[in-house]
Amino acid sequence: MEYIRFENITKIFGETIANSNVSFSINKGEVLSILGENGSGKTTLLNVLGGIYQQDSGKVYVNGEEVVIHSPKDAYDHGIGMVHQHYKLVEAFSAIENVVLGLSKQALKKIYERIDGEPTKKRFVRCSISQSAQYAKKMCDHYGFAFDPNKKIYDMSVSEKQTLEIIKALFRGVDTLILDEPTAVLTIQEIKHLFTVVKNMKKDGKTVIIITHKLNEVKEISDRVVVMRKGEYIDTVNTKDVDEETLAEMMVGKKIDLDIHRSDIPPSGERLIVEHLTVNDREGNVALKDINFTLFGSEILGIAGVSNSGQRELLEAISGLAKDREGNITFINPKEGKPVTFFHKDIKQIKALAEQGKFHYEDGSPVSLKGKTIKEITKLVNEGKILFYENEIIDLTNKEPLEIRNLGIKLSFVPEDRLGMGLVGNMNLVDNMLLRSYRKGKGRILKKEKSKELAERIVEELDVKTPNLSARVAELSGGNIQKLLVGREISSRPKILMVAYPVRGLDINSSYLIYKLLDEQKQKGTAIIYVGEDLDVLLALTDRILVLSGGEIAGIVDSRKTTKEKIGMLMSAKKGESDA
Amino acid sequence: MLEKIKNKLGHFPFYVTKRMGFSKLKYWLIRAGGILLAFLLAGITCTLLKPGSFGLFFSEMIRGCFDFSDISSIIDLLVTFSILLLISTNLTPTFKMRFWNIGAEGQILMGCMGAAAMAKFMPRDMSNASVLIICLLTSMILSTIWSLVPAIFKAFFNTNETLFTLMLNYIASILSALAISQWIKSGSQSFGVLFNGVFPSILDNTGTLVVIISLVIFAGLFVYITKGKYGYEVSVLGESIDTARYIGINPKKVMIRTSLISGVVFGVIGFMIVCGIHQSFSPTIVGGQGFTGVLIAWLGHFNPMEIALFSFLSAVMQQGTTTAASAVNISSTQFSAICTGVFFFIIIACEFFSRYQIKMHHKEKVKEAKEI
Repeated sequence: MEYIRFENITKIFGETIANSNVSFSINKGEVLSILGENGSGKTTLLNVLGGIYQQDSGKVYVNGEEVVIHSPKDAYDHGIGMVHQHYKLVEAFSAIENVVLGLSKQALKKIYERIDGEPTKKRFVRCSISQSAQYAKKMCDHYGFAFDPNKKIYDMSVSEKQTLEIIKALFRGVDTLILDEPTAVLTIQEIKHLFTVVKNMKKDGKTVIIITHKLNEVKEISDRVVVMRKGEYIDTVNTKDVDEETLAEMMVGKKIDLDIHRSDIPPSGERLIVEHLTVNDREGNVALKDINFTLFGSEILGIAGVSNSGQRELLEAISGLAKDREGNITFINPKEGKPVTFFHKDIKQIKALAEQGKFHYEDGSPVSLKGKTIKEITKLVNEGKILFYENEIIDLTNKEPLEIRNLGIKLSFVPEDRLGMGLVGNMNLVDNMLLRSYRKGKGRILKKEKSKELAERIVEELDVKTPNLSARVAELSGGNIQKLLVGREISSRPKILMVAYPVRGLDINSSYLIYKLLDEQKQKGTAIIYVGEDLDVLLALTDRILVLSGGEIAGIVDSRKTTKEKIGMLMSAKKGESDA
Repeated sequence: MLEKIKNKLGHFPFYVTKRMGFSKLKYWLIRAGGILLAFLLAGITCTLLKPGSFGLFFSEMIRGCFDFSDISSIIDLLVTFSILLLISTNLTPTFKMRFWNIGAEGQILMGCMGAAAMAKFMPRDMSNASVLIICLLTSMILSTIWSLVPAIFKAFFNTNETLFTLMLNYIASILSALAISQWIKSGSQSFGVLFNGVFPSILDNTGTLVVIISLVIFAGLFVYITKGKYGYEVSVLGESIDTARYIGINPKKVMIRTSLISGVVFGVIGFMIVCGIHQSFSPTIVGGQGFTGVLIAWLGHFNPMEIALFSFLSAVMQQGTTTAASAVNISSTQFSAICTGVFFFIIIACEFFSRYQIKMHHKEKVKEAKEI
C-alpha cells in the first residue's frame, strides 16, 4: 500500500544538482533502505521529507495528498520524524527534557492520550516533566527500550543518544521514522540492538527508512532497497531478490571487485616501540592509559574501537601533537648496513658518530674520520662508502612534530580531519603539497617548483579529478581530497605511516584505491597504523588488530585468525569498571 | 507589515542565500558601478548644498588630484595614498592569521607620540639626521609595544584581540592628550611646528620621501605576504590552527612574530606622519587612517594589489572632495568625510550583494498573506 510518494523531486545547491527528478514511493509498514554512495543525494532527498530543505521542484505526497513540509514540525504533523547523522540534542539537558523540548501543553495532552490508548476523562491534566517521564517510560517498555529519563546527554554513549533520538520521535507519535546512516558510529552489538528496535517498530506498523551505503546492512534489515546514484533515482528492488554484488554495481554504475588484497609478506624488524603511554586529552581527562605495543616494518596494524576510545590521542601522541603525555615512544630507524647520508646530518654530526664507532666500510673495517678533510669526508659519504653498524634508535618521547622531522624521521600521518588538519581547504593543490616541504631550501622565499611537480604527479597517478592545479582543495570531492592527502603523505617514502579513518565518506572506488595504496606501502617495508571503523575492512586489510576500549588496550589479535564478533566483544569490554 | 506576514507564514517572506557561480567579470563590473555611483552621490550631495555646482564639483575634484602642473598636489595625493596603502597592507598578515587587529590607529599614534617627543626634546644642536634616527627607533619601540601586548595576551591567555586592540586605541589617544598637556605649559594645546627631526625636502616637498619609503616597505610586505615562508605560515595558521600544529608550526611563535613585524612597520608609519608629513603632533594626527586601513584591507580581500586600488580611490575621494568643497564654498570640514563614508558604504553593499542574494519564499503564498 502506497504511503509516501516523491514525484520529480529536484533540489539544487548553487551549481550542484543534489537531486534530479527523483520519483518513487514508500509503502506503509515497510523497512526501506535508501542506498547510495556519499554525495548521491540520499540525505538531501530525505531532508526534504524531514522538513530541513524544500524541493526546488516536484511534489511530495503523504497518504495520497500533496503536502508542503516547511519545517521539522510540519514533518511531525504528518507523522514523519528524522534521526540525523549528527544528533540534535541539548547536551546539558536530561533525557526527558530533550524528549519534551518544544512540545506545548496541548501537544503533551494528546501524546498522553495516545499512549494511554483512550481519551482522558480528567478535565485538568498535569503536564510536568515527571508526568511525561512516566508516559515516555511506558512507551519505551512497549518497544523494549532502556530509558533513564534523568540521565544527562553528556553522560550518554553514542548509542544511547541515538536511542534517545528515536524515543523523541516515537514520543511525538511518528508513523514514519527516517534514520540517516544510523550504524556509522555504533559497535557490532549496538547495531544488533538497533536492528531489533527497527524490527519492533515494524511489528508495530511503523514505516522505517534507513539511509545507508553499507551493503551488508541493507541485506540484513530492509524489505526493499531504493538505489540512488549522483542525485538520480536508479531503481527499487526487493532485498531478497538481489545479492551484494548486484547492489554494488547498481550503486557505482559499473562492476567492481569487492575483495581487498592483503599481501602476505613477513614483517621486517621493529620500527616503533610504545611503552606505558598515557595521554590526557585537551580537557585534561585521561584518554589513553598504559598503552604498550610494538610496530613492525611491512606490517599494517589495525586499530579498532568505538569512537573516542583514544584512537585520535594515540596517533597524535606518536606524531608529537599531543602535549600532555607520559611513557616512552621509541623509533628504530632501519640503518644497519646502510650508507650514511647528509639527510638531516651535517659533517660535524657524522664526524661525532664516527668517533663513537657507529660506522664501518664496505669491507667491514671501522671508520675513523680523524685527520680527513671535509672534502674527503663529503666524497666518502656521497659515494655511499660509510655504512652504519646498527639501527639508529631515536627517542620520540616529548618531541614536537618539528623536532621529529628535523631528526630525519619519516613519519607520515593522514589525520581524521582532512580539511581541518591534513590540508587547508582554501588553498590550492600546489600550496597544499607545500605544507610538508615549505621549510626546505635556503632563504625566506617559498620555492614551489617541487610542490607543483608533486601535485601534478599525484593528480595523474591517483587520478584526482580537479579542474586545474590552482583549484581550491575544498572544491574537490571527498574522495579526491583524500587521494591528495594520502598521496602527499606517502610521497616522502615514510618509514611509519599512520592513517585515521582514511575511507570515511569516500566512494567505493576511492576506498579501494586507498586500500591498494596502503598495501603497496606495506610491500615497500613501511610500518602502517590503520585506524578504522569498518571491521570487515580491518579484518581483510590488516595483519594485526589492536582493540582499544575506553583508552586501554583490550587486546591485540591476529587479523587472519579472529572474527568480527570477537573484536566486537573486545571493543565493548570495560576494563576500568571493576576498579571503580 | 513584515511582522504580520511573518506571523501568517511562519517565516519572513524573503530569505538570504549565498550566491553561486558569480563570474569575476560581473563582480568587478558591479564594483566599478558602485565606485561610480559613490562619486556621483558625492556630486549630488554637493549640488544639494550649493545648487548648480554639479559640473564644477567634478572639474574641481579632478583638478585637486590630477593637476600635473601643480606637483605638490600630486605629491599630497600620493602621500595620502601611500600611507593608506602601507597601513592596510601591514594589517593584512595579522588579518590573514585571523588576528583581528583593529588597533592600527592607536599603534600608529603611539609611534607618532614617540617620534614627536624625541623631535621636541632632543637638544637643538644635534644634527637633523641623528634626531631622525632616534625618532624612528622610539616610534618603532612604542608601536611595537602597542601591537605586541595584545598578541602576547592572545597567544598565552587566548584573550579577545578585537576588544583588546580597540581599547588600546583609546589609551593611546588619552596618553597623547596627556602628553601634550604636560609638554605645552602655556595651555594653548598646540604642539607647534618641529624644529628638528624633519624629513629633507625632495621636489620641494617633505612628502616625497614619505612616498618613496612607503612604496619600498610595501614592496617588502608584498613579497612577505605572497611569496615568503613567513607569509605562508601566517596563511596556514589563519585557516586552521590544527593544520599549523600538524606541520610543526608553533602558533604562539608565529602570532607574536607577525604582530612584532606589524608593530615595527606601524612605528615607521607613525614616524613618517610626524616627521615627514605634519612636522607637528596632536592626538588626532592619524586622522582615522588606521580605521580606514582596516576597511581597505578587508575590502581588498587581503590582496595587496586590490588594496592598492582601494587605497588610491579612497585617497582620490578624500583629497578631491576637500578641494571641490572649498572651490564651491562648502564650509563644513565634514563634507569630505561624509563622501568617503558613502564611498565605503556602497563598496560594502556591492560586496554583500555579490556574495548573497535575497530570495522570496513561495510568491503566491506571500501574496495571499499580504491580501489577508
